[in-house]
Amino acid sequence: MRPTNKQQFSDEAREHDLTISVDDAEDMHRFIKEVAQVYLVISSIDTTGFEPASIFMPIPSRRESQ
Amino acid sequence: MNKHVPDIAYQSITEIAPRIRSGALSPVDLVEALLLRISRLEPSLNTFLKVWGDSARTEAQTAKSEIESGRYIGPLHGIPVGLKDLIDVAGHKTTGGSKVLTDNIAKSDATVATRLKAAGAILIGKLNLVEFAFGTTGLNPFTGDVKNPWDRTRITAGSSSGSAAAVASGMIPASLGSDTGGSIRMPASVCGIAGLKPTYGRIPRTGVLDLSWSMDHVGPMARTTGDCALLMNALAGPDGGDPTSYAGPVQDFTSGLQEGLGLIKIGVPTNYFFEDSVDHEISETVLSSIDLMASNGAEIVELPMPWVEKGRAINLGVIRPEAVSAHESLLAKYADLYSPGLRKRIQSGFDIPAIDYVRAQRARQWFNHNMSESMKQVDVLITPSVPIQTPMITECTPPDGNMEAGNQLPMFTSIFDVTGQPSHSIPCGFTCGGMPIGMMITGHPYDETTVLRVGNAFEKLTDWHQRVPTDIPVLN
Repeated sequence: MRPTNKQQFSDEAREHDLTISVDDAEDMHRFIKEVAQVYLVISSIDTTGFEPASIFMPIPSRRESQ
Repeated sequence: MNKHVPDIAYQSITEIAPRIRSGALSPVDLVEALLLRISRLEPSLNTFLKVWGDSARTEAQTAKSEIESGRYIGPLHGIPVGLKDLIDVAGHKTTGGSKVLTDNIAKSDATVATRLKAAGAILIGKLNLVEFAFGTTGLNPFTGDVKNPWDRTRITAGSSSGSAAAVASGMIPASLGSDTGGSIRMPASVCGIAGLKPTYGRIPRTGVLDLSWSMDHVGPMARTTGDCALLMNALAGPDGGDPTSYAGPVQDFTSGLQEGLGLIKIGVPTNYFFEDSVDHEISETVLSSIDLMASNGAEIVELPMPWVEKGRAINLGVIRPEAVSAHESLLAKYADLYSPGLRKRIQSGFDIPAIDYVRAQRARQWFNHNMSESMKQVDVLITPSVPIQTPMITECTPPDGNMEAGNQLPMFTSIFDVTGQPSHSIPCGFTCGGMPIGMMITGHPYDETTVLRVGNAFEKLTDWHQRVPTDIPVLN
């Protein structure tokens, strides 16, 4: 659940070990609205069949010769 | 010495290198001339965070001795290059333009620094940038704003602000920048130089500060397309330190430069990049440039791309959570050392649900599929680099500035950070107000050669890249 006011936001930030004043939270609420708009656009895309590219790459390794 | 300055300052590497090789120009004289120029221009432009005068002179003397004894390495031998200050050089600070990393001394060279040194280049200093490269206007509350050499009241764009302005003002022939939403191509466009964002993974990022690891690219900025190709030859290639670096073969990026426009198919998007919201002087100038290329052998293909407008959202949807992750530990320790604006922007991202990040990466796959389907018809796309004329610094400075410019600047460039395609900005004209206009040439993944070929062909037809900035102090 996303916080709906600056006090909730500040409280939640503290749970994430981030110290955010209530005043900061007001500014950040504006940024959060921008972010929400970004993901609104993304959510409108039908991505069925388009799985994310691999973000995990195994590191090649082998046993060292004795 | 001074008589060389106007001559050398605005010459390309392609022009300087044969003179160095033949002994007609000594790297020592070149470095001295440019250091003098830097010392005189720097107070007006604020491009450098650190100039390594002593080591540059020493390296220049070494290069001179090597060349005189027949050990010429190649076209970068004895050429001064500046680095955006998020690239490590052992024993020197990498600050990222931040207060947080003021005392961060690099233990080893970034791979790109190692490769430039191996090619004989002289690392002349670290260049100003947006705080942690997270921004588009080029402004920085800690290190000061870089001034645009064409009009010092206007922004350079960013985040590779110093990298662009130092090249544009003739302080150095080339620099390195990085590009996550357009940070090489926007300042290249706005400052009137060439800037190449190569294919994702082409140039390793080992020893380069992360902003968004699946979008970050390192690339060259220089006076001409040909110079970018020379730098690519030194910089590209796999690197064990960067698992995302491309393991495939590395070609000679200069190999196609002289092939011209014959048989080249240029895609021109019919939507988004040329819509009414784009500044008319910019769109008309780019369309005229496309016409010029058509009359010189290129075939034009109009491409409807109705899905492309989603690209900027996908770019941001990936960058935000990755930037939060990249900064998490620094923020926990040094939140008060970030500028309030950047700190809040990063901290606001901690609330992004994991599913949104995964959605963004899925959308990226969808977007790349659409792009590769469209690109099947063409060799390159040509578009404007930025949609707006260069704003005044005061227009972009908080609290009174209109921050919208910062959101508009990357509307076009960020598309190709999403797809990872090679994308190159070169000058193609000027506004009525005398500011450079940039044209973006974007190719198929791993086909920098065609992008550079088209850029070089255009530069042969025009002289925009030879114009000299008009708002820098006259040096005697």
